[in-house]
Parts: sequence; structure tokens; C-alpha cells
Amino acid sequence: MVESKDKLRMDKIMNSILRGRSISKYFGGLQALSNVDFNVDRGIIFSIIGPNGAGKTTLFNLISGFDRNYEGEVVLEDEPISHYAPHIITIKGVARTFQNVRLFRNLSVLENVAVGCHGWLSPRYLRAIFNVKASRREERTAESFAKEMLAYVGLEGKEHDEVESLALGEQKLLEIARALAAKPRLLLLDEPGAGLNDREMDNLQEIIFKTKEQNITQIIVEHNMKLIMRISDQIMVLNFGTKIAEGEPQDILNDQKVIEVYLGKDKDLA
Amino acid sequence: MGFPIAFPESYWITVLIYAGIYGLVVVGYDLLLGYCGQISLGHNGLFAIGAYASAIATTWFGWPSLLAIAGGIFITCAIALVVGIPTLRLRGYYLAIATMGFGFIVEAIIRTEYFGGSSGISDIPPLTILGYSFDTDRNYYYLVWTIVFLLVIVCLRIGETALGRSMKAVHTDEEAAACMGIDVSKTKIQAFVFSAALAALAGSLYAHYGAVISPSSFNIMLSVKLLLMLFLGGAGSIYGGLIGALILFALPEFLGQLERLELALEGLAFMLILIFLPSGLVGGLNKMLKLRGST
Repeated sequence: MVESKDKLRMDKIMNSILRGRSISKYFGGLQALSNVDFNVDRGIIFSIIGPNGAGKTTLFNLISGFDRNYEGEVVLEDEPISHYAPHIITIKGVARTFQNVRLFRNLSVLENVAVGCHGWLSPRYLRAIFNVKASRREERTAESFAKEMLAYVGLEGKEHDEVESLALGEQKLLEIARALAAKPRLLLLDEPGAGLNDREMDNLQEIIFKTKEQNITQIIVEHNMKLIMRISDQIMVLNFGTKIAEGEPQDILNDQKVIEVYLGKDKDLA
Repeated sequence: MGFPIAFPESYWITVLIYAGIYGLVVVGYDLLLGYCGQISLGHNGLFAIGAYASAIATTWFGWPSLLAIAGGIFITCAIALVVGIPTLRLRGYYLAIATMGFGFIVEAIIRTEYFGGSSGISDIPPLTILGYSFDTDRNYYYLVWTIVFLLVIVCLRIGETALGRSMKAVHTDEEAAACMGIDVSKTKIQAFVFSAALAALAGSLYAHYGAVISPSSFNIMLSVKLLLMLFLGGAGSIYGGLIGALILFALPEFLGQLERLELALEGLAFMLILIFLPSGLVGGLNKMLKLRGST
């Protein structure tokens, strides 16, 4: 019995891509996250929901290294990445998008995606100056991969457009393409559906499923419950910085506490 | 390039030499500010270190020119690295003020008796490379502009690679850039050190051309003028700064009796450029060509 419990625990760890233990975060006197534990299995779509101010984006910021001042531990596969610089976490295989789109406005659409390749390209001054052939080959690789990612999200033909000329939905897709250009094992999508119309939402859903087929684990923060219910393998619910529920979509839908604090009486979300 | 052949005795050769020397500083400065978005008001200090190091190495220690220039570049880059690591954590006007402080420190040091005081260093020998002495205006013109040409190509190469993209990303949004795998601190420091190398090389060329250097040539006004050259020509284009340097050096020659108003006119040019043509002459021209192409 003990052996089988240990085996279960080891299997769980082996299958886990991201674990968080006792994550707590304070902004001055305000506790944004309080002892949050979570485990994300490899290859799944793990969604985080909760009311505004629940700590969802804060959690993303801690996982991605955007904010390194917190208590607790984040483990990527079997490597603790707590307090690593964000560029190191990206190189280790975690890429993200932002709640409010943060594209590089002084770069074209294609160049924005190519920036995502930086972590695995490792460009060097001496190579750029003295080994023009190798440097040009590197550039062709980045450009080709960036075009592939743009086609993947449905933005082919827009390579040389300015970022400002894209509609919001297209900007969100561009951010996803840029994150995918980093060749992540784990993709963090922060409210990718916010502001999208129905057609754009369907397109987004297709991209999320396609990405799952590439065996890329996705953690998604989202308010659109219809989307969440359609795509999620596992859902975690936060409220005022604490985890109040975790489980499969149908379990979450029926959880009294979740209904009380977030879902309300409207259960037509399947 | 044929100008000195056509007009061998022309005073304009001197003007163009100085435009090339300062243009070289601005080319490196463009990578730092135009691409990477890091403002430095201490490039007068870096220029001074390169000039004084090369001058001292040749006049006091009898070093050959190439070794003196290399030594000057090395010392300047080392100092830039030491200064850059703490100061490049700052942003915006804090960074500007901190680098200005560095410029003041260098100016104060070169004013001391150890470096010749207010008189500076004189009798700096002409540049001699592989036995060939660059002791005429004509051959110095070709030397300076060949170096400028090569380094513009190098900087354009850097700009069009992932390095250039990462600098531009850091310029727009440091935090998002970091989440794309870009080591923001390293990117900024590398740009600062690279621009310091170009400033040091320009300083060496300046010292060996004029044969005399003194602290008054390296004060804060030089950093302000470098900014003006960069924005006049167009930040972020690499060669825009050269155009700015050419205009700024040619301007006094056309002022005639208004020469005493040179500083005021430069200030006015600065204001007008930033208000009406913030992308500079090169940027403005590119926009105009794009608009014509789309109609």
C-alpha cells in the first residue's frame, strides 16, 4: 500500500511539467496570493479562473519571472525556477503572452515574431561582424521560423505590416505567434480571448487545440467560461489570492463555492 | 570621396575630417540610443579617455600608433563596462544624469596636472600605420572616412541581425523583451561598451590629427552636440548621425557674421527637429518616400 502510494507520487512528479508550492505574494500590506499549490501535468490545457483581483495574472508573473519577489517555490519539470530571471525561464522553455498586449511597436509583424527566437538563436557580436555567412544563415532560420509561426496563427501575408495596423484580435494572435517562436514546452496565455468576437474566439480555440497536439502544455487565464469549458482538461479557481477549487471542468461547474463567488446562477456554459 | 583630389588645399577637408571623427562617435551612439533606447550624456568622457590614452601612450611612452589606439579602445571599454553595469540599471533621465556625472568626473580628472592640466597634451605625433605616416590633411581624410565607412557597415550588420532586433525590443519594452529570452542587462551593456569602443577610436583619431588635446574639447557640451547630430540626422538609422555631423560642422562656415549665434542656432535647430521632425532628416525622408510609394 505504501509502495503503491510512493509509486503514485513518483508517477505524478514524472508526469508534471510545472508545480507550485506554497506560493504567496504581497503588494505592501495586500496579500495577492496566499499559499497557492498547484500541479500541471504535461501536455494538458490547465485553466485558471476567478474574479478580477483574484491573483491570476500575478501568478503568471511569478511563474514567468516577471516578478521575482515572492515566497514559495515553482518547479519546472524537476528544476526549481523560483526567482530566476525572466529571460532564463524563457530559455528553459516557458513562454507567455500578456493580459494587455505588449508588442514591440518599433518592429514589423515578422520582426516581432523573430524576437521570440532570440532565446534559442544566441546571437553574438563577433559572429555578426566577422562570420557574415553564419550570421546570415541564422537570420534566414529566424525569418523562416517566424513566417511559419505567423502562418500557424493565420497571419500569413501580414509579415511586413506595422503592428499598429493590426486589429486587436490580430495583435493577440501575433503575441501568441511570438511566444510560440520561443519553442516553449509550456505556454502561458493571459486572457487571450479578451476583446475577441465570436469568429476570432473560434479561431483562437482552434489554435489552442492545435498547440496541444504539438504536445505543448498550456496554462490559460481567461474569463470567457464558454471557451474555458470547451478547452480545459483541468481548472483551478482562485479567489482573493487563495485556491478555492481545482478539478475537471464539470466538477468546477458544479462546485458550490465556485458558483457562489464566480459563476453565479448561469450554468449554461457547457 | 574625390573631394580632396579635386580641392587639395581646401579648408573644407579639415571640416570633413572633423565631421567624420565626430560622426564616428555618433554612429556608435546611435546603436546605444537610437536602437537600444539608452541615453548617455557621458560620451564626451569616453571620447576623452580614447584621446588621452592614445596621446599619452605615443607621447610619454613612445608606443606605436596602432598599439596606442588599441590600448585606448581597451581602456575605454573596460571603464565603460565598470560604469555601465551599475548605471544601466537606471532608466530615462536618471540614466542621463548618471552618465552626465561620469562625463564630469572624466573632465575633472583630465584637468589635473597628471594629465597636463588646462593645457592638456601637445606634440602628439601623427598616426603611423605600418610605416606610413598620415601627416597630411588629404591622407588623414581618406583614413578617417575609410574607417567611418567600414564601421557604418559593421553597425548596419549588427542592426539587421537578432542583436539589432533585441536592442529595439529593449528600447520599446524591457520587461516584455526579457520574457522573450533577451538578457536585457547584457544587451544594454554590450551596446554601451560597443559605442564606447567607437568613441575611443574617434578620440584617438582626433588626438593624432590635431596634435594637441585639452580638457576644454571634452566638456558636457560635446555630449549635447552629439545628441543634436544624432537627432538632426535621424536616430535609429546609423548613417543619420553622420549627416547630422556633416550639417553641424558645415553650419558655422555658412553663418558669416552670425557665427557668434552658433550656439543659439544649434539650440533652435534641436527644438525644431524634435517638434516637427522627431525622426530626423533621414527618418523624415524615408517617411516621405514611403508615402509617395503608396500613392
